[in-house]
Amino acid sequence: MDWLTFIRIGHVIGTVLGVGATTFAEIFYLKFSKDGEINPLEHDVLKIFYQIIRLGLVILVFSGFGYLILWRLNFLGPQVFFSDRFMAKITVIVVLLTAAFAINFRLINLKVGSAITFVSWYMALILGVWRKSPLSYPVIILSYLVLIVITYFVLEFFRNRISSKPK
Amino acid sequence: MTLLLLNALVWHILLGTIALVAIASLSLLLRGEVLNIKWLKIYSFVGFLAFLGSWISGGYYYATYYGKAVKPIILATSTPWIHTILMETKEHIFLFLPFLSFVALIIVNLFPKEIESNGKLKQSLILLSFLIVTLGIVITLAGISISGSVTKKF
Repeated sequence: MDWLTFIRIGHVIGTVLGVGATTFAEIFYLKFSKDGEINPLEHDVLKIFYQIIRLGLVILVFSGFGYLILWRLNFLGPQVFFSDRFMAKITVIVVLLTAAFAINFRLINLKVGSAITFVSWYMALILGVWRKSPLSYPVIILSYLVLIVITYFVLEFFRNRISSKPK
Repeated sequence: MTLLLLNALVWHILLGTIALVAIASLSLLLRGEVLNIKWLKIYSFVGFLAFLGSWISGGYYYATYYGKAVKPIILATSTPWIHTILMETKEHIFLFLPFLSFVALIIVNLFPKEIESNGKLKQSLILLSFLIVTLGIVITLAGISISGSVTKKF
């Protein structure tokens, strides 16, 4: 197996773990919140999802640097490094890392943090797959911000619906 | 580029990333009321060693190759500031990151009980690790820009 294939597999695994665990963490959090509290067992289940998200992030970062090393050694230059898609992806990953820190140290509201995390993982997935994206950096980032706001309200809607249901 | 220089560049990047992950993990571990001292020691040790390794390999690459082979290429592009500003900044921040991580290593190893009981010390250690991670991310982004400016055309 060549390095590119190895790195690509790692990048896909990291993204799959991150996107999958984020999605299920959100679904289970909503389900567990039905009775208004998270019991120790439910807390443990959520904790596993958060650990998988962290693992996915670490794999994603290392495999991402693997790509960078290959690009650098093959002199791919500004066309690849400074492409709108790549710069947007780097921005999303930096936001994702910052949000993860901010959530852990309770520097931002958990609901805002979970909307940022949720959208960031999907954005990283989309930017990774959509290799011939014609969108410019500002358009991608603006869409990203709009999606975060929309996701915040969608998640809030589901949280309110679940908590207003009779127990 | 010789095989030795190629390895120096690759290990500089990999060890730098390992150091960042280790110090970020250290700061996350410091959140709790009850601290896992064993893992704090492991992360601070790995963080320091990896920064040191990245320092040596990056330093070797910089001193023997970058100046004569890469710098002229970047200066000839339409974005010479990537060397004059980003690389110069990276180079200076990079110099003291192993020392900052060494301070974290010393605190964790010499005062493990005090970190738990002394809130101010714990807060300072969290801030120190935040500083290391933030500076690490800044110079990583600078490194990506520098790598991105190198082409075969010149």
